[in-house]
Amino acid sequence: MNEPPTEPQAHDAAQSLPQDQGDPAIAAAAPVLRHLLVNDDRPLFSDEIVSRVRSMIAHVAAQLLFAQAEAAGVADSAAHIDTHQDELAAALCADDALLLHVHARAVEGQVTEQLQRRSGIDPVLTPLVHDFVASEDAETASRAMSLLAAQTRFIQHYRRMELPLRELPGELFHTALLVFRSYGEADENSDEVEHRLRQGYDEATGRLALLTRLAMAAEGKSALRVDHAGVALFVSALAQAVDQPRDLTVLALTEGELPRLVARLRAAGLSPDELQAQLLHLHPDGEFLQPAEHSSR
Amino acid sequence: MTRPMSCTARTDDRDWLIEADEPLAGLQRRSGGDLPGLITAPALLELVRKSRLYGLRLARTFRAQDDHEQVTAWAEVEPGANGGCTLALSNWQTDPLPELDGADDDERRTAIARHLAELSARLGPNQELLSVDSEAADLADALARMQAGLGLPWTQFVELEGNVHEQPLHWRLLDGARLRLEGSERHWKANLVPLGVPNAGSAGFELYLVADEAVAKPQSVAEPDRPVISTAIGREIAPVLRQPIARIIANAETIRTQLAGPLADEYSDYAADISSAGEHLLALIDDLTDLEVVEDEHFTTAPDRIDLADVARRAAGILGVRAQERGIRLDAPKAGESAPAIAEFRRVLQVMLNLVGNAIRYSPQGSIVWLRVEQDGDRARLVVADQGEGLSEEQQTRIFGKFERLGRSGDGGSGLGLYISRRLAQAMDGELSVESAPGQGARFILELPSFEDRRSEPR
Repeated sequence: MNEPPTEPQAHDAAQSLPQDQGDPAIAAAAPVLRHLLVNDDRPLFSDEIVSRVRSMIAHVAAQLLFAQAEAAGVADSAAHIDTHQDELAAALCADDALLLHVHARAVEGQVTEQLQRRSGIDPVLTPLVHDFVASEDAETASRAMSLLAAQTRFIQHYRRMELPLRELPGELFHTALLVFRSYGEADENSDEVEHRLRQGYDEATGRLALLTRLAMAAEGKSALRVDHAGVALFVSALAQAVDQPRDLTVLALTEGELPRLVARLRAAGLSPDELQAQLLHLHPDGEFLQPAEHSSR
Repeated sequence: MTRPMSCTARTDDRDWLIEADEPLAGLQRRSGGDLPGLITAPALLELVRKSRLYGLRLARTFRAQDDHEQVTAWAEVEPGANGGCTLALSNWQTDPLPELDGADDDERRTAIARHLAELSARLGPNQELLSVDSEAADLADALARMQAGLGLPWTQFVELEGNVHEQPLHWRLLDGARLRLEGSERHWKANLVPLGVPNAGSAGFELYLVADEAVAKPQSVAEPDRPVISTAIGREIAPVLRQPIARIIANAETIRTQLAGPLADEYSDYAADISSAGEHLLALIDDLTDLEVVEDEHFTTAPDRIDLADVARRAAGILGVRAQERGIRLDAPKAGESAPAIAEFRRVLQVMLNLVGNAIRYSPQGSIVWLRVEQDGDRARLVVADQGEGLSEEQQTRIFGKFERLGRSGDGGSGLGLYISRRLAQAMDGELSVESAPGQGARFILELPSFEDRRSEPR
């Protein structure tokens, strides 16, 4: 009855616009490109981080599709994954929380590598982990051994740009399954696949859980020294001390986020001297060494 | 102040704490909760709820605080089979609450007292009553006495707990004092806010009496209502049930048709029974799922433009074979006829299949079922008429009821079809009615808005 008069209008609009803005895709190209060019040296969005994020999300998609192919008895699971991976990965990217976590994971891996190069901080076996392994408390000792294994896997996965499903925090695991459910056409297997995946999930055995528990067990501020605890435990302890999400705390380690890091370290109870010592590891050439600059922030 | 402890606990499908060891049980009670009762620590409640809803084993630290300490603990939650969860808490650490700034703290306590007070009074510099007010039912007597005794020290109207020698005491000693009031069963606490500068109290006081217990509510013993019927049939149970039932039917059919080799006829008949019982069960699940959908208050239908004659012809096509088996002829609208209506095609077809299916089921062999469309101004109608036994007045009033079978049984019906159909019709701004008399067949009439209707009538 009331056909919206879209066509004539669109036509008019196209005529009235300058030619170079006629196509929305091309019109949007310049700002996106400009952003990439300007932020090239920003570690938060470096090419490396972006491709790591892309690969890890693709890996999450691949694992979901593999579980599906396995349950459905698809002979060529690789082909099944190939067909759907990109589309499912795009759907997963739409979730901000998931994206943030993957981003933080990439940044954490990168910072871990940097500190190993720069300050010789072992990505896995740090002095604090050593102490835990030698702990008289059998439970702590065995947990530290589990963390050792988990952290080794983390580094391995980081290098391969992978993200095992079971390492996702509970909410994001749930989100991934929901996205997967709404993406795929539900066949008789999908409920079973989902059920099996949920059954197999145990947050308590994940790396993040182990880190949190050991950070809780650390005495005093020993976990708040990155050279002593290592990046992973340091971030967990810091997040816990200031009651902030771990992912955001990881992102605070990047260069442009220095004020956030300083605020967190102070809130966690570090004295200015202790704070300086930490910043020497994390930002050896940072501007914070100049007092004037520091106070102006 | 740190005592590492661990404990276990259990919750149910409402996130109530059913069993809990110390120290969790203590925290629950100190925070004003019951055992069993809803989890009081917000962080723990959130964790348990997530674990239950997601069906995932979760493990986190959680923080909580009661009136005097802050708790940090590691919680591992595992969803159980009965809808509840089991909790394992460890690393239970308690720390004293962080010291608050003195002035801030006072201000906060005063704000809380002002908010919670059930009796408030203004006192003069010597703590004499200047005015007093209360709305608590159990303080009516005390209030009357106080109002009659304005000008006297307020302490004369209350019973201070503990040894009190002389009255009135210095206000600092009375601030926070516990007391009883005649006529009230409850325990009370006094809060005195001094007024005036520079000497606190030089301009008098505000007095607030705060009760330790709430007024007893008569129904407080009963547990909160639980929904009688779970509303999870369609969403959760139906998909799980369909698969095994479909397998039962498929296998029963295999046996019935003796695909795997010859069988005694009796066994093949039993298999046929199994298969038809399975079909019935599937239909019932579909009906229950639909019931849940139409009873949802947010249920809406899409306002498509459809042709009722087309729907009727399709329904006749779908059920044609079944009608033929029973020797019944379906007389659908002719190809040229049409009756435009605004409704959701799928839902109208569902109603039609139900009506025509009923007509086939309850009509005598060799009879005719007519499907007719009519248009009357802004309403379009679809009529299904049969030559069955017809319905009495009393049956006509009952026939659209939920689970109404009109005394029939054993024919594969659930008693939900017409109920759902009518709800669907109403959801589309239409109506489903019946005209009939015993011995004269029945006419079921589905009436829906026609095209012009929605335009002229604002909804």
